[in-house]
Amino acid sequence: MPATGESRSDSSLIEAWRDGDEGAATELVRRHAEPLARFLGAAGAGEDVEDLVQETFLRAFRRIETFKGVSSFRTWLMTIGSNLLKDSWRRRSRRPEVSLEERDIVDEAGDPQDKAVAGDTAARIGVFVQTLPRMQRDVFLLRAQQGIEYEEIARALGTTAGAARVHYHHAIKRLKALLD
Amino acid sequence: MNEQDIERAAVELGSDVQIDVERVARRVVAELRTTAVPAVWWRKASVLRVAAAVAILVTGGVLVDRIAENSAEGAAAFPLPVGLEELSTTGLNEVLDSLDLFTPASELTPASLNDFDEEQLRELLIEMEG
Repeated sequence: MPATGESRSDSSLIEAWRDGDEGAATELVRRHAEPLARFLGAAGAGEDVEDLVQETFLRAFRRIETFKGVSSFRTWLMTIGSNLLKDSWRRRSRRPEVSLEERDIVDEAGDPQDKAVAGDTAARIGVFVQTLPRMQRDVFLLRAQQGIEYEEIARALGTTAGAARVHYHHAIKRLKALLD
Repeated sequence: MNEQDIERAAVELGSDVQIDVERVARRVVAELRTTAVPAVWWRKASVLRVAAAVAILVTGGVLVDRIAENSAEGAAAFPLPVGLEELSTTGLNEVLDSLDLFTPASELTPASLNDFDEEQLRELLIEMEG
């Protein structure tokens, strides 16, 4: 009995897509679109996030033969998305300006006072993350937001695990300085 | 604020981002249909493997055929010694005898090799040498 889309591994779906199976491509989008959107949203994609997610998948599927599996498919998607975000900003000549007022973090549970503080802190971190140098921002989000190990981050970004740790440390240091 | 606070807050980053996953999936598939790059037959690994195997077989076959052809030509050529002018009548007769070309002698020539003089033997060998 063939495996259903949900139970199939990413590598199995990728192989199926390489053979032209559109259902496999759809399943990969369903599986990874939301985490990718969260990553790109936190990186500063703004209102264009859905278009950016779509473009990321298109680029990934069109260049699927370049995916060697050194990192997970999701991590690979995030590096593609980050490149597209950079290209998007380059076309506009600059990063979009972000302000605390534009951010609206809602926490529906807990004490109202805590909610306000937590929401405020999260909003401020969200803004400051977008001001980090790209490598620091990507490493920080992949590690802290997505929970990916340094070794995999390093493989996806073409660096070493040690260098990834250094980028993360610098990101934390800078965010602390900005928040204090 | 310490590192742990930042990390806890980072987990929630982007949680307010909303996208329509099904719409994205539909658009992606529709766009891919217009290009359908991975579906192109020659990009399939299995097809490439078969093509590579066929190429190796054809190339190998041609090489074997040529080698066999060359071997046959080599065997047909007479291994005549160089510098026939330097050979005596006895030497020329020995060479001709070793080639075993005149058996049965009656079918090729009415005379024995002994009836040829040195010049005739030399001419015969040179002619055979081509």
